[in-house]
Amino acid sequence: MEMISASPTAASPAATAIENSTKITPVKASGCGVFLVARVFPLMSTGSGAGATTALQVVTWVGGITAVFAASIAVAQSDIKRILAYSTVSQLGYMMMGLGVGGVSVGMFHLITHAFFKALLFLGAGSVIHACHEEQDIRRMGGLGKYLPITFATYAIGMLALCGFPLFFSGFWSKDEILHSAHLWQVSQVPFYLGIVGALLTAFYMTRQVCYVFLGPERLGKKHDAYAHGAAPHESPATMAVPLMLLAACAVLLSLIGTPAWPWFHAFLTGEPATVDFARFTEGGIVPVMVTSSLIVFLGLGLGWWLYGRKPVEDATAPDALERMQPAVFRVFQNRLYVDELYAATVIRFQAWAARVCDFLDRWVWNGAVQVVSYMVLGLSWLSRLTDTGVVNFGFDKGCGGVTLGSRVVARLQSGQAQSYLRILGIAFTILVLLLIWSSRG
Amino acid sequence: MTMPLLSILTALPIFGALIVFAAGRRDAQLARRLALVLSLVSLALVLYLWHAFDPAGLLQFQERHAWIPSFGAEYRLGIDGLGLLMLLLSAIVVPMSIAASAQITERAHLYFALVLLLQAGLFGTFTALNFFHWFIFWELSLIPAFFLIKLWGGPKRSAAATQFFVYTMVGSVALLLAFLAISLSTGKLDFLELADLARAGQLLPAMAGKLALHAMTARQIGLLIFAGAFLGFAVKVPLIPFHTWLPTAYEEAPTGTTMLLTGAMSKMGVYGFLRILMPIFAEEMRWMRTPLLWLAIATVVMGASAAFAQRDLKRILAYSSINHLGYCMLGIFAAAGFAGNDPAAVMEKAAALDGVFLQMLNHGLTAATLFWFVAMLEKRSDGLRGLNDFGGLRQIVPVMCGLMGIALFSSLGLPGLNGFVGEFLIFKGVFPLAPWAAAIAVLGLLVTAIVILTILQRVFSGPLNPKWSAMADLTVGERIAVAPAIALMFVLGIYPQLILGAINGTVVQMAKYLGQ
Repeated sequence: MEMISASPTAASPAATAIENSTKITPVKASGCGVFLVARVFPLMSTGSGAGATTALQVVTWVGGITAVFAASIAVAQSDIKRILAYSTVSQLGYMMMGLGVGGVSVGMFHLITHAFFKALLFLGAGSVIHACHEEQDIRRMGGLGKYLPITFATYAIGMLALCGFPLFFSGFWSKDEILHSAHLWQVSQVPFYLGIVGALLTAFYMTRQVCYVFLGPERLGKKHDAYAHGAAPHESPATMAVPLMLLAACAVLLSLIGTPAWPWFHAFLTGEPATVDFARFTEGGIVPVMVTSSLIVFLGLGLGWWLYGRKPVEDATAPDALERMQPAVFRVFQNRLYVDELYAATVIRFQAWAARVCDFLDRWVWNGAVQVVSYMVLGLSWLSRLTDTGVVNFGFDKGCGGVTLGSRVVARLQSGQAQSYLRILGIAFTILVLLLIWSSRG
Repeated sequence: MTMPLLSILTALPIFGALIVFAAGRRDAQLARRLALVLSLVSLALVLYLWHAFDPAGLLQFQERHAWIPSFGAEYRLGIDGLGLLMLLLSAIVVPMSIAASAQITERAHLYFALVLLLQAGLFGTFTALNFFHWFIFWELSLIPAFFLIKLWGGPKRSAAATQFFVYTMVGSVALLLAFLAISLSTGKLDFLELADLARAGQLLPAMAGKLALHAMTARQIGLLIFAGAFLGFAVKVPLIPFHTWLPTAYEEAPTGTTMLLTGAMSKMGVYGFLRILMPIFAEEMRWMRTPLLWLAIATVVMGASAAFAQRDLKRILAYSSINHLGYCMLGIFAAAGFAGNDPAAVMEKAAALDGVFLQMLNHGLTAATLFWFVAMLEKRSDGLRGLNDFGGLRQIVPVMCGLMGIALFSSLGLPGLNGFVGEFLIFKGVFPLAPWAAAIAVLGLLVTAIVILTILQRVFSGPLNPKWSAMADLTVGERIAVAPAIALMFVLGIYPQLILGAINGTVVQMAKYLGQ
């Protein structure tokens, strides 16, 4: 079940749900699936091929594909919360991949660090939206850094943690653990490369978002009538600023519990004592993976800056830098790879069709059969009435008519009038006489 | 000499009906209150039976007198866990229905007298253990239902009532013929004695010996008689495709009557399967396992899908009722169809049957409550009840939407509410017994969820339909009236042991006898 919910094609509805709900809850809620897989990990990891059972391979592949799939969609979105929503789906893919290749502690560590910095980002986004009078489109923001210094600073920390900026941010350490485990995975190296691509895309789209929102010229004022009333963007009150700062602190400090030197979190989950050992950094390819992932992050940040930061976006209606390069491809990602359309064309259409078929069967086939039986009974009754009135009654009536007629004739004979009796006697007598005469002649 | 409690229980509503009919002639309000009080007395009596019932024992409160010995008719009453549960459900649903029928003012004394008569039919059906006696009450319950639909129903009530009556009657006639055949060949009509015969393997030879028509084999004769009895119950439940009377009847019946039809009367069919078909025709049910399971699956999946195509709230709930009873049938057919009774299989069968029992009670409670809410909605909308007639009601009648939402979620099977436990146990039991059937039937759960959520979305959410901007929320009286039903949903959802404890002995016994 949970594998399905984290699968690439399920990403879109999930992202929509996240985007529409309030700030921090979705991050907690969306971690449930990962937690569930972590919970049933003992079930998934038993069986043939210890370490890479079929179940765990499925988890890994689904996670890796989700990570890239959702990140690529996030690149082309312009709603501040929708970008974060797809980013969340992508990071959930990472966690799944971590569970698949590295086990519970790897996936869960990213779940924990992500929970803090993504909560920070959603809260920061809320602060931005609030400051812009419920505007959510990053194209109509811009230059908010100077109005919202606290939000900007904390958002930047969250963004760097999400990108996995080296050494000082928790996201770096948790993501690195996943990549390291993927690198050591015996089945395939493809998930590792999926993770690398995902990291690149993450750094890129977050830079794009930050450039659009906090840097460059103000594009809001030109469109938005709120500015006409002189209400400039304003920093959020302490009720929002303090949680932002606390979350930012966590986004940095959580690094401490998951470094290879002191893997306290891993030890906490496995129940082993945690030891400090800096020599572990030199073990089995940890440093090369760290360097690679750092370079990838720098590359993503640089590309983002090159396209969106170097030449500030002047106009809210201007096409995206990527859109200018490849309008057709950009549109595909902008439309979220048509996953919603795919669902509408398959599952939803099938459901509507099945309902119509069942309703048709109900109205015409099942009910039709009942109606046919009832009409057959009616027809039989009609036939029986017809034989009754047409054959049985008709014959009976005719017979009765004959009897009546005969009786009437006979009855008329017995009228009780002496004259008519005498008349008949006279006629009969005459006929008899005539007969006698006739017979005596011959 | 102990009190003949079950006879008293059945006689009470009959006399109640007479009292209501005589005393309520002038005053509709009085008739309703009187009927409510009498039904609450019945409920109290059933609760006493529940209290006095020994969960460890099987058949209790027995009464047995000779009646017409020449063909095996006896006056024999008794309840086990199943009968007790059904008595409880009937005793709960009838006062709910009476409370929901406040809008009946025309010939109210007759209406409420018929409702009580229907209750007597239900009590009689659920306590009788001899076919002759049982059949009288089985048919008796039909007559009040017919008149309730025909006299107080919607615009197409006459056709609906006739279809309902004739359809059910055809089923009953088939059932009667089947039992005449059984009586001819064994001279017995007692359910328990017949079950003993069947378990000893003597029923089928006896029928084949007496009824060797046209060189039919024993198997064919057994299946023919089974088919007759099956038809009677399949129509009553109903199983697709014997269900077409139901949507129209539920739609056209006054909503209080619909509550009775779905809450209590539909359980008569399921009860028949459990009490009569499963023990007496165990072998035939094993032979017919696959087709029967397919019928149950069709009922579950097509019932839910057809519900999605409806636009009238009562019709949606009617099809959803078919779907929910389909789960009961699935559990019964899976448990009865599985040959073998090793301890593991008995466990699974007991789980499935536990689920069936709970589902019967839960569906009765939830569906009746849902129809009640529809009645309250109709009262406020001048009889409109289309899915698309409303919208945004949550803003204007939050209490009604909240409480009806709980009932809807219970129907959907949300964990924590009563609807979940029954379905969960059914699937838990059916999965090992017939994995393929469980796998396909799960689709029904999904579609039900879509149907229920669509109701929530169209009626409660979205922009407020300005037509209803002055709709009144539930009155204090209405809130108090629905509160017990809603509370019961939570209680049964959180602590189903309350019911399971009482039925467990019966269920385990049934499961052991199956597949012997």
